[in-house]
Amino acid sequence: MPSIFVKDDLRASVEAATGGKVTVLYTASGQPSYMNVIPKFNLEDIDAGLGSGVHPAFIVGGVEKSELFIGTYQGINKNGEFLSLPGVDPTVSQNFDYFANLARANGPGWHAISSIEFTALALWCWKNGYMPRGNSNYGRSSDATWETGRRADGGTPGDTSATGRTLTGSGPVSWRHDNSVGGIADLCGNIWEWSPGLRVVQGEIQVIANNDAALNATDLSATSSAWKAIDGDTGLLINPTFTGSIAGGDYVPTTPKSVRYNTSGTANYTLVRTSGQSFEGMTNPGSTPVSAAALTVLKKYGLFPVASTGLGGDGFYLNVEGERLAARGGSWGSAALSGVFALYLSYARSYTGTSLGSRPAFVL
Amino acid sequence: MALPHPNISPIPNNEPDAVPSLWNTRYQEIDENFADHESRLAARETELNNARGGKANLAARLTEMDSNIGATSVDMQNATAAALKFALDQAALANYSVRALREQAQQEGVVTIKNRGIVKGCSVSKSTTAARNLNITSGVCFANGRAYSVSDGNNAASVPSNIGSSSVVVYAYLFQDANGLWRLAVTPIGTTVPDGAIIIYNLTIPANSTDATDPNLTGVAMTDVRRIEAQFPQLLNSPASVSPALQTLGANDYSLSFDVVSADGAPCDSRHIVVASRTTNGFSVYLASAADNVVLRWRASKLNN
Repeated sequence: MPSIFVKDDLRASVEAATGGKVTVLYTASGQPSYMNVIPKFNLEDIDAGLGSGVHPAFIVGGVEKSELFIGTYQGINKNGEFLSLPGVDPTVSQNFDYFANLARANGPGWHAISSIEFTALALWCWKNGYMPRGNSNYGRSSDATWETGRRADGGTPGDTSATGRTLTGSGPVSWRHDNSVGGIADLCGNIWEWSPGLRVVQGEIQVIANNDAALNATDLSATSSAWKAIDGDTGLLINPTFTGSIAGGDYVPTTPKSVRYNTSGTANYTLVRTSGQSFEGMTNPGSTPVSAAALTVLKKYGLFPVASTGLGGDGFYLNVEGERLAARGGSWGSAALSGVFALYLSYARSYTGTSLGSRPAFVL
Repeated sequence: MALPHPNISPIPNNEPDAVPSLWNTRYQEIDENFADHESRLAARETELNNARGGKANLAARLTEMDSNIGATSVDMQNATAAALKFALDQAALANYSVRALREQAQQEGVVTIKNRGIVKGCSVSKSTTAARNLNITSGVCFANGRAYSVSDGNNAASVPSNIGSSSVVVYAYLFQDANGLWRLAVTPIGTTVPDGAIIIYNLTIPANSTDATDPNLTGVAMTDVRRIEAQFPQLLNSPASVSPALQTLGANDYSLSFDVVSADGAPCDSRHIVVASRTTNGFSVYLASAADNVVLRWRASKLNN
């Protein structure tokens, strides 16, 4: 019986044009989605400070994955599925659960890009020596204002009187994560991307282990048992303890030695950074600081800077009241604080905004 | 019809001569005979007039009748029957041609092509820790036009006992559970795999194979029937195929056309249907697409059959 080449013109042309870096996957209803194939990599190949072994973004449900599929473009809702398509205005103004469920509607393996996946890409960009620019100033790059994308409203780059979103992938290659036409577009700026798997609750950092947030069966709700705190001594993921409840507005974390964020102070096991400042400026000033072992874990999850300089000055935003879920990458108005390491931990689960969306991802 | 007075009464000999009353009786009888004649003559005239049928005279009417009778003569009837038979023959020929066109010269049908298999892994082995169970290694399968990961599992499915006196074949297969995860299962004896499943092994269970007689499945023969497509979805080494049958044609130089009615999960149209072989009583096609459950309407045309 002869071997047959599958005649998928779209996928073949995309793969040919990008040297195989981008492929086309199809959703449960057969809609196409442009996806970058990200092969797994080792932590030690990025930085010794990250430890060793495969980056946890490639560990899903305890199984090591050979690659991740990350949406080349920020996502858009089409027919109830979350697609990565070029040249469209990405879906915004929906809350966290909307995007998480929308991506899962694509079928098993599909999910909204997780926080740890975004982190893996950021670390790779940093190691690769290229920090992508993007739409960080109303349709143009704040760092290189001659670099522009096509504004969704047809407006002029830099015009701050209207919404400054750009059509997905409409910027130059310098807005791609690897500075090539086959790179992931708009990881920096345009819209913040809800990134499941990370939250702070009254300042306590809680993550979902490895990349289990990518699993369709993982409960991402506020009361999910999948949320784990990080032990400030050992770096192990531990079950958080607390009094009160998130829904009741009186949640108080009581987890011993758990790592927390704050905007000031010297509390034990507490990382400090003023909201709206650079992520790489975060400090570890606690009377009992977070241990080196725990910092290693935090760096892997993108919760502490892998280096104190050279991360592009990407922003860090924090609100220590209640449950705050992670968004990453920055927006059209974030200016220099946009970037692959930018982390927004101020949005409540129910928050919506015209600069807040997400990106589809897939893991087999 | 008789006259009222067929015989005029004779004048009796005992009557006096030339008495008017004597003659009047005879005149009356004669008048009644005449009246009878008159009425009967009028009736006959009326009947004859009616018999003319609107013609000027009976001769014309008879000529017309003769002409009509001549038109239904035996010759005419024979000619009519011949024409009718010819018409029926033509209709039969037309019907035969239509039937031949529909059933032979242009044949149509619908088939469904299922395109499922294994990308890697998903090997099944006999359990050594639980009676009559199977283990499966992790891997990747494909169905519905896309790939899915398959988790490994020990004692993931049990093999039924065969208490019969002859061997039976059951099937180990993958199925998608309610959460979208693919899991291993084995069919009960005498049943087929459920729709949407992927058969990966045939299990031949000998007679009298039970928990008591063969807990480790030593006597159970496992035949690997996995369709492995390591390059899915770019390249298919064992592409899915179907072989529709045809009403036998005179030769295999017929043309084929396809219409993809529906397909799951990946692009699929008529370009993705590759004809592999044509014989006079059927043909085979390969599916050059990652799609699954491809409903294909086909037409085979040989108008010169």
